[in-house]
Amino acid sequence: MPASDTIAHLHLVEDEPDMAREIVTSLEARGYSVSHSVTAAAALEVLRADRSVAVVIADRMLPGGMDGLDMVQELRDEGIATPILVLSALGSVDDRVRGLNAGGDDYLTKPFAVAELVARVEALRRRPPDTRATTLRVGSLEMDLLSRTVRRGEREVPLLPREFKLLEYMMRRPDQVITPAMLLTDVWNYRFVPQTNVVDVHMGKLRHKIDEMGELPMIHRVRGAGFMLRAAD
Amino acid sequence: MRRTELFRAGPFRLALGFATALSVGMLLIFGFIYWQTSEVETRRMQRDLVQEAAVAAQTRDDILLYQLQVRIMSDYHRVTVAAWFDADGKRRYGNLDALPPDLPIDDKGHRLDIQTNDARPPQPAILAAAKRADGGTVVLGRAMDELLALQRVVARTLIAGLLPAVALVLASGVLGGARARRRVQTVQQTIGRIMGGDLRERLPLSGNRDAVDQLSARVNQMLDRIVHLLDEIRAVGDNIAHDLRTPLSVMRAKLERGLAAEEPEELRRGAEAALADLDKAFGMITALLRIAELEDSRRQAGFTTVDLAEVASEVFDLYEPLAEAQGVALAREDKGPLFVTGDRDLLIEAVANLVDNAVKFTPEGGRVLIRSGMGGIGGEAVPVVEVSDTGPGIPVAERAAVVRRLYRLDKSRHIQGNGLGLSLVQAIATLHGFKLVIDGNDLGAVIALICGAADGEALGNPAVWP
Repeated sequence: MPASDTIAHLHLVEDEPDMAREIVTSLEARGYSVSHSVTAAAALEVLRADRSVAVVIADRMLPGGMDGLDMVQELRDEGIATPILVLSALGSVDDRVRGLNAGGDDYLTKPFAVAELVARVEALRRRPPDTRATTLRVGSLEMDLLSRTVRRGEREVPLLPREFKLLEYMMRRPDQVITPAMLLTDVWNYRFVPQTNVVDVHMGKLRHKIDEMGELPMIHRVRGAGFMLRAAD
Repeated sequence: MRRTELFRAGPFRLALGFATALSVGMLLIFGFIYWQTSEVETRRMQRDLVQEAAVAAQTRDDILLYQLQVRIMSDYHRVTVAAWFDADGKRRYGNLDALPPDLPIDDKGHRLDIQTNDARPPQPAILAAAKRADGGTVVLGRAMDELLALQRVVARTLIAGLLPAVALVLASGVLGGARARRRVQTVQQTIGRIMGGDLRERLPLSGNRDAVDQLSARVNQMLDRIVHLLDEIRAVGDNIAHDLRTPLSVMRAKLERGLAAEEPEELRRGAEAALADLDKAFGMITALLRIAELEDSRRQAGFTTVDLAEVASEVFDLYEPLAEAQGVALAREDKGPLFVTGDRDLLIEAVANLVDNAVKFTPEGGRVLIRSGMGGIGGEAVPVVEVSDTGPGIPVAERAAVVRRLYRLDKSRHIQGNGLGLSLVQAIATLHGFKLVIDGNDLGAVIALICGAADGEALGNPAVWP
């Protein structure tokens, strides 16, 4: 569901043929154009030549002596700023992998839902401009970061601190699918996923406050993926 | 046993060293005795002979002759040399045919090979010569064969004593080496069998509590622990197989029904339901891997000072909306900051799991309380986080079992969950050296995380192992 006008071009680095085929097919079905290479060295060739690649998706474990994390390092050393999403096996999420989340790149553990993958790719593709603006605006929704107040049109929306943070995260990423896992890592700073989906409940409470009875909904639930904030009109 | 192996054996080397020290020591002792008998005795004899010769030089002719006669005649062992020559070197009396040409006449003792007129081959002797007033010379001496005989006895004693001693020491070294070697071989064979897969095998103990015994006992303890862990893993494997089979077969049925359906909408529903089941199975695998990761990591490098009250408040905020939605009153009680050393993220995860369980098992209208403060079971007070609920409680008999992986109480089978929450909390507690205590009654469960080595048990001490 790339929302931008041109077709986004992604590059996948994955050595397992089955996995690569599945990812490429799923992403192409959602409107991306996807190229694929098997080793980090081959991917570097592609990325040096083709700066139109929007996001690189790289498996952490790659053959040929250079893994996904080494590739991130190499790209940055060469001054190539293309964002990278590293796919990591469950048991190998160490501090180096977690560091990607802080450095403007991201990681995702296998197995993952395609919806989650797409949401992460979109988040990387449209990294929020880190503006100094003190006001965020999505449609009729307005957030004042200094006075910590939120208004929808004329109506003031009273929010708890956590709800304010949640809404701020969403207002910086309008029209994007935001998954519960993204909220847990980015808003709560948790490394774990609670057994019960508590994020849903928090979002439900926030939604009741933003979208009151009779108003057009702004916070939408995206089936099987997460949530999206969209201007009502 | 090959020879090289024998010489490499510790006891043999020790014996070799001991034999060398023994030899050096005995050689020193016998060297001293030898020196005493030869040098000191020789010098004493020289002094006596010089004195006697000097006295004889002053003696009157007839008395000297008499004295020399007595001297020679009373010498049954034929060791005495006594002779008197006049000024032109002619023998007046004595058992020497001529004045020895290489004997200086200087009132000093000298060591010479001398032939007396008893027709024996020349033999070493000590001689002293003195000039008389009339120009004659008196020679007195004594053969050294007694001394030489004594020296030979000393040497024989040395050989007779030293050789058996060295042989004895070396032999005991060989025997000791062989015995140590045999024990090591037994241990090696046993280890070979254990490595071959027979984990019930144990190293033999000789019972004399030496180093090898102590080591073997430790290895045996280690084997007990490994067997225990393997049993646990086997049980977990069985449980995983069992617990995965259920969602997988349900999933299969759903997919089958979807495929057989006439309506495409029905196929879609079946696929979606199967996907949800698959996610459940993956969730279980994720949790198992996470527990394994926690149990593996012995590192506490990331530990900092963490405020348990803040942890409790964080979890409270996370679960408050959920509890409210389920009609459960979530409450919190703390007595100010409560600092422990640990990993903040993991402690939040642990408390979140406890609260997750409590909210899940507490019926509508119930109450869940998160409490942080000083407490503990007996002894000194340590920081404690406690989560109590008004759910069905955990029967005493099953309290030890619930922290095991995949264990679920029968009455909780209908409640969503993978039976890994408490195992995860237990793993986090163990990593921190904390204790998980389950209490309560049939009016609710009380689960406490005792954040201190309450019994003075050090972290990493094998005694803490479950």
